[in-house]
Amino acid sequence: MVTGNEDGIKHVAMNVLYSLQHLVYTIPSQADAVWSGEASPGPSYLDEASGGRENEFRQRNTTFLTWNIMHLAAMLKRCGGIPAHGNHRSAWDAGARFDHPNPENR
Amino acid sequence: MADDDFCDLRAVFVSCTLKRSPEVSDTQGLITNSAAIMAAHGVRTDKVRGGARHRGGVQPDMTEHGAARDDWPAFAEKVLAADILVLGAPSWRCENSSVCTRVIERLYALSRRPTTPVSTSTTAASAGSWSLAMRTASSTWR
Repeated sequence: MVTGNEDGIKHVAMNVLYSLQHLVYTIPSQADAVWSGEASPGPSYLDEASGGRENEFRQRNTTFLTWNIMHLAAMLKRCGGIPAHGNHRSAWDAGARFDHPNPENR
Repeated sequence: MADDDFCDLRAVFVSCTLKRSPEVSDTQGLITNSAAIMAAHGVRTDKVRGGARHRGGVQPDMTEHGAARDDWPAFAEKVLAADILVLGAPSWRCENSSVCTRVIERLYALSRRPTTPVSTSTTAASAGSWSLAMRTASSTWR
């Protein structure tokens, strides 16, 4: 979730969400909600005149983001997370290749 | 656990504001809306400021590598014990905040831990030896 008075808010979201998946977080669909107001110096989100809190687009994205996270987290919790098959580092190190084509067999 | 039951979930909301506490943070104000929805449905939410207190480093605990102080390990315990992590960041000069970047850098350093489990969920790693009694829904930011 990103805010700021200038452009670049989706650039920041892109960076954060990529980084988190790289750290093995599972990212739900529509996982960002941003608000910047006009792309110029001006009121910040909490300022009375900013309109940030009343902005329906921000409210909707915040709400959908939140429920998407809650649903996915609950689903993963119920089923014990992503199965530990084909993604098992110690098994890979022990020689397992989980159906990756053998480069010797051409 | 029913489809609409979220009571066994824990969430950590991190405000990566550049403002020093206790100055009011717009980033914090933004992500509080999401925390409120989760708390209303039973998710145990913990809200923390990323803060400039976290030293940079590529190890889970930089005091083991010469740093005089490192507040990150205690912070990391909260994050690893949670099912959900929400990062809030200000865009500053069209870029991510240095606080958020540092939080991500320190999370990345945790991947060096030999106990990192292979089964992934929405957590970066299971709690494992990082057990922690999480506070329940709190209206205060720490």
